[in-house]
Amino acid sequence: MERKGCENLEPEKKKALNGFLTGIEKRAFTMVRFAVGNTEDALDLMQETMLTFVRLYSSRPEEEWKVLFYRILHSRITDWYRRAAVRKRLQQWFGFAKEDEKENSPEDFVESSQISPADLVENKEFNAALEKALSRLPARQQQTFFLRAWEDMNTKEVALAMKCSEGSVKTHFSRAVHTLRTILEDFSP
Amino acid sequence: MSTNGNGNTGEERFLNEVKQSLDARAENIEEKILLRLRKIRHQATLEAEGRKKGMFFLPRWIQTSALATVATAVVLVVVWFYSQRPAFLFKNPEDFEIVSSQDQMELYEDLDFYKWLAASDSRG
Repeated sequence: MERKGCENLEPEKKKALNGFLTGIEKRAFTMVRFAVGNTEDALDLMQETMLTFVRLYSSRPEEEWKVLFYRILHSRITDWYRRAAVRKRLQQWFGFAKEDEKENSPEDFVESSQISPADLVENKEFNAALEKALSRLPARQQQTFFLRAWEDMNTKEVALAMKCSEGSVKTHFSRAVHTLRTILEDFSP
Repeated sequence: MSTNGNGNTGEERFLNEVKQSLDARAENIEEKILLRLRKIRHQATLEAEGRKKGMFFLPRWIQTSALATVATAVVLVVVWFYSQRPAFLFKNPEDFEIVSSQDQMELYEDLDFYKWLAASDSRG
C-alpha cells in the first residue's frame, strides 16, 4: 500500500512542477528579455534557470518555488551583466569594440521588438512608452519592479529573491515607480 | 489612462495599467519562442526525473572548483618536488673540490690498490 502511495505522489509532483514552470515561463522570459535586451541570451538564461531550479529545489515545498525560481533567475541575470561588462572592457582594451554592440541594449530591443497584437489595439502608445521606460530603468530597479508589481511578491519575498535587504527593495521599488510615473506622466488614452 | 492620480489610488491605478500591459506582452510572445520555452521546460522536467535516478549530483560550480583545486594541487606538488632537489650535487664545498680535481680523484680510486699492496708487502 505504501509503495502504491509513493508511486502516486511522483506524478503529482511532476505535474505540479510542470504546471509551475508553465505558469511562470512567459512572465519570466519577458523579464529576462527586458533585462538582457535580446532573445537568444534570454532563452539561454531561462534554460539555465529552469535546469538549476529543478536540480536544486524541485523537492522543496511548492510555496517556496516562486521565490527560489526568481532567486536563480536574478543570479543568472547578474552574472550576465558581469560577463557583459568584462567582455566590453576587454573589447575596449584590445580596441575592437564592436559597432553592433548596441544590439544588446535594452532600448534597441524595444525599438526592434515585434509589435504584439495587443499593441495594435487600444493603449498601443502607452504600451510602447512603458516598454521604453522599463528598459531605461537600472537593472535592480527593473527587477524589483517586475517582481513587486507584476509578480505580486511581497517585500520579503523580493528581498530573498534578489539577495538584498527589505529596505533596499522598498527603495528600488519606490524609485522605479517614481521614474516610470514621471516618464509616463504625459500619457493619456 | 491617466497617471496623474495622487496618493495610493493613483499609484494603484498606474500599477494596474502597467500590469495589464505586461500581461498582454507576455501573452503575445512569438510562437517560435514559445516552442523553445516549451522545449526547455520539457528538458527541465526530464532533468528532475533523471536527478532522482542518479546517486550524486554535483552543481557546475562545485565541478569547476574541484577542477581548479586539483590543478592547484598538481602545481604545488610539482613546485615542492623541484624545490626538494639539491641545487648542487655537493653541499659541502670541500667535496666539490675533491671531485673537481681529476688528479685527486685518481688518487682516491687507487687508494684501495695501495692499501692492498701495503698489506701484501707486510705479509711478504
